[in-house]
Amino acid sequence: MTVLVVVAATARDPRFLSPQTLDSVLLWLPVLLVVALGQMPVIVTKGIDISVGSTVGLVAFSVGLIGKVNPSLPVPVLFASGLALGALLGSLNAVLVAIAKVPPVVTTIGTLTAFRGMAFLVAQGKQIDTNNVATALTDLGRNGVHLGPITVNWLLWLAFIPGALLAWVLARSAIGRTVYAVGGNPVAAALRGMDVKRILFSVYIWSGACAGLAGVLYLGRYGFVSAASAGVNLELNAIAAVVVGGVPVSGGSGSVLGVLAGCVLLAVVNVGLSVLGIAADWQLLAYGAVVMAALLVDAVGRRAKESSVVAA
Amino acid sequence: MSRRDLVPVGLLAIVLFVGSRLSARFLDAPYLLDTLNLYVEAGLLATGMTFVIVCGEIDLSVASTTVLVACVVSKFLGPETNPVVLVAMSVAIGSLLGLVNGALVTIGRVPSFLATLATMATYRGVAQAWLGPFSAKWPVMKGLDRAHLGNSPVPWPPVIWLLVAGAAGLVLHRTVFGRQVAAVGTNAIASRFSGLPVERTQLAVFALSGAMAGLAAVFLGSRLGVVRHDLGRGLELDAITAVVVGGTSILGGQGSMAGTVAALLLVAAAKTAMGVAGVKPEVQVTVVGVLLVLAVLAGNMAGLARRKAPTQA
Amino acid sequence: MSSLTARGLTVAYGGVEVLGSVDLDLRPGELRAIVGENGAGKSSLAKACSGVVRPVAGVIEIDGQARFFANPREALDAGVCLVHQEPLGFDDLSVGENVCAGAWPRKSGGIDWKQVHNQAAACLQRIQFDIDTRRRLASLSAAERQAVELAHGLARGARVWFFDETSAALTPTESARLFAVMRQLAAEGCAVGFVTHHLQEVVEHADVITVLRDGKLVGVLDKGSFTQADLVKLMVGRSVELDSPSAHKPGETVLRVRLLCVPGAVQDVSFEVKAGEVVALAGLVGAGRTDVAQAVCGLSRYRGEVEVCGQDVRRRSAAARWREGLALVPEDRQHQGLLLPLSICTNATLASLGTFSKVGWLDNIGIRSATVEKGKELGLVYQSPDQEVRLLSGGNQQKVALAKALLAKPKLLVLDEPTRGVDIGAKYDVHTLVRQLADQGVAILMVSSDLPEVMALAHRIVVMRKGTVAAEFAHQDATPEKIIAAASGGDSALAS
Repeated sequence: MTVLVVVAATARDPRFLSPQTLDSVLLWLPVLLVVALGQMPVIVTKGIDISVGSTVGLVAFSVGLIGKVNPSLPVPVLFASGLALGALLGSLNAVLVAIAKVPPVVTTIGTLTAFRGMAFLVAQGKQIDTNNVATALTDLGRNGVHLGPITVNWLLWLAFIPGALLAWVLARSAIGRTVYAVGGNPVAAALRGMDVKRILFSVYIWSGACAGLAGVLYLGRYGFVSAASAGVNLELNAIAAVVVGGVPVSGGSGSVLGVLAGCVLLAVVNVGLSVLGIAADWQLLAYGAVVMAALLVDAVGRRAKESSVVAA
Repeated sequence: MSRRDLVPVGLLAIVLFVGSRLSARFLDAPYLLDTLNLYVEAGLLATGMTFVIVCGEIDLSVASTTVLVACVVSKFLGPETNPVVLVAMSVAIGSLLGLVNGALVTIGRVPSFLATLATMATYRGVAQAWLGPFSAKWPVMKGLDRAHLGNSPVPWPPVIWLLVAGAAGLVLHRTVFGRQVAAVGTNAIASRFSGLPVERTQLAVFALSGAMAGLAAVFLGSRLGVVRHDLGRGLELDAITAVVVGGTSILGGQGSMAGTVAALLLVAAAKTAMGVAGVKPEVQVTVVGVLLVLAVLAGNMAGLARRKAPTQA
Repeated sequence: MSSLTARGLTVAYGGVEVLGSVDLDLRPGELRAIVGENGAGKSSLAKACSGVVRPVAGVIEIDGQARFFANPREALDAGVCLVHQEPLGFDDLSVGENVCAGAWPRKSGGIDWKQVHNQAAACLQRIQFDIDTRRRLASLSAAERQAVELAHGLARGARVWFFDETSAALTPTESARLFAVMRQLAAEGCAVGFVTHHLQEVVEHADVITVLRDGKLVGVLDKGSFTQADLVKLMVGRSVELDSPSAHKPGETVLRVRLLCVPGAVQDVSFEVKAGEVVALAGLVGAGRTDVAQAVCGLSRYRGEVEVCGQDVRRRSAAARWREGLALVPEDRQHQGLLLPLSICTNATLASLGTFSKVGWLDNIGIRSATVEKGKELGLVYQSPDQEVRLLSGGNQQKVALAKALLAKPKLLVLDEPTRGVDIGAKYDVHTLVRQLADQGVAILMVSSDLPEVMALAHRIVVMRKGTVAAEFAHQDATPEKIIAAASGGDSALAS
């Protein structure tokens, strides 16, 4: 699918296949990738976390404010505080879903608005501007490793850290394998003595922590945060990336590489739209269409699989 | 009214009292009644949403449906259009968009929260791609909210909403269809085993929710006179909150239209009181979100207590 | 050397006792069969001993030590493993992970994968299965999945084993292999109990046999001390009720099933049911009887023909078939038959709302009076028609489910285990009702595992085995022994 978009865009405008385009795709990726990495285990357990867009906004603003008040703080401290704040917000979802048994969609639609409102309260009508943000942080987006004509920015390298961590955890660790087990067959998981509650708890905290990290990446990428717009619709992008990346909505399977591919597709679509000169007004429709297409492909695949089982 | 319906009524009384302490102007009947105009759209969406949630599903796309319907109507209909045609068209387009949700859920077997999240983006996305940064003129029936019932201070739109909600309540509680919705929401498998048309019922509730969103578009367009793609953001939250606070179980099966109406009035009063107190709209939304989560929590606790009650052997 | 001793085990579901004060001794080195008719409490006994259900009374001792299991995990930790009929498993995990599920070997920083695969391979080796432990579970055959389930128990160090109808889904070769494994476990000093319907297996493999009937222990037999006929007599117990079906005056054919196939469950099944006739589908659990009933009702996909009153109903949905005069009382009334949190009125009239409404408006007075009237007819005991169904006892719940079917005025009534989990009084009421309905000319297709019930009610008995029709008897030619023999594939000469 990514290839199709690239080919179509290049056919329209040869400029699309330029290092500049690639650079902007790479710059677009980190925030989305990290949020999608957070979302993925949640969807594997048949849940959903709609609150991540607001978490990104709230954390980006709060960390921006921390940096503004203490300009001397080193960058790693900013990252640590972002992660911690995100995990704290995620733990609220975790408690509501895993312990109070509030359906995930209701929990996170509630916290979506709650976190956005908190961002407004923190902001007090102000914004974070580039001159409030440590250059050490914004430089992470401007500089990077040069591979020939393209630059792989530092933010993307940072985004690879949770990616590698999640890939390892899901493929190799007990908790990761249990995530698949709980998503695939919750009844058997309970009978086998797995702690289903703890797994649900963990995935929502992970999702929050990832959104927190993404908030700091957002700050570094844009250097500008408004409480009203930071991270809006990001949850939609992330869910699209995860579903497009081949994680079935019925839970129990999916891979980190698939999610990465899904994110690349969304980034290419996004950058492609602007290169093709299509106004930003088409973005939301593009996201919606991508999610719809992914859901339909998933549904058709499930139907085909079911009928083949019957035929066997 | 059941005992659960009394919860939002009690809360409403508290909010009205607190509001009156905040500002002397608050308890002014014409003021409150006019404010109610702002909540007619949410009220209609909540009316449709009650069916969807009683049926065990959820519809996140309602606000986007309203915007898309408003967009289509204002693009295609001229100022000489017969109002009846306009209302009929709005409702019809809304139902169609709702049917798309229903088809995704029944035929595609996509969980409704994902299906309607996708259409929530898609419908608003179409409106945004179509209108761009511009606004479209609403063709006819402008200023419906300024029309009052005779010489009374009661504006028409809330009255119409209450009539629609009343009729919907009768449908939910007194008709075969309403009974089927509750049955499917309680246990879809047992409903199928009892010969109920489960998938048709699910399709119908999404269509009904879409139809209400279409009707809401009429009031939205008429009140504002113009249509933009970013109208009505977060209306789905108000609607879902009203339904759940009104005592409808988020897990489906049991619900009350009277409760929804009372809870929507509560949301309206709470937001108005906050507005009077100078709380920003963005923060008001937060309060509504917290209210939603608390309502589900309270429902869960009540359910737990009920299940612990001894059963007759 | 391991042993399990259970004393006075009592299990109840929703107030209905399914196992009443039963004793069980599993000794090391012994293969113990647990037999009985469907619903005799065999599975409940195995589940109560392995922590899947909590007994309301009784003591369990492992190697002489009293134990209490709150969940299957605690039982497994104590060395008690239940192998389910349907293997539990995680399709997207590897064979190795499934074998070690719940107790993956760890080393610093994560799972010790080498250990996982070694351990899994070793456990599979022990039962002579050579499966690549890196394969996904989804790619395995039924027998291989069963082996993974067994290996899981081995990996957890189980010493007391229960097999709950584990051989039901296996081919004869596969099941012979399974019994060889059981024998091997016993030889290693484990205590082994297996629940089965297949009397042939009991005769061939069991050292000791525990026989249950209606939730009570009725006998413990040693190998060689009995014939298969003795066993059947003990299982069936009470001399078959002298009640016989209503005087038979068959009318038109109401249901005709021809060459019905349900993929994976039913193969080429044909039979007819006439007006005023009760036809029983007898057979073991898993023989495909419920699949036939559900296909007839339009609840699953099938090939072949189902004709109701001479019309092929292939293209009709379940809802349309109800309108045509077909009604179903399903087996699982908690999940399929009733809407537990809703009222008696709502449940009773759910399938006949067309009758109780005018242009879509509910006639609540009519609904109430019809419910009360039907309740009186069926001897329903309740406080108010608005009472929630979940608060009723099993027998009264079943009567509500029957009321729902009857208010739809069926020409063909499909009853799936109509008296499972109901008390004796309610059972008698249901039997009387079935006779009355047949006299009124309703065609009745009844799935039942209760042989006395089949003998007392059915004009004709269709016996199913492994998805096909094994035999068909007219009432006067049928005996419980013949039915059991046909259903379990044993030699009927042996049984009679």
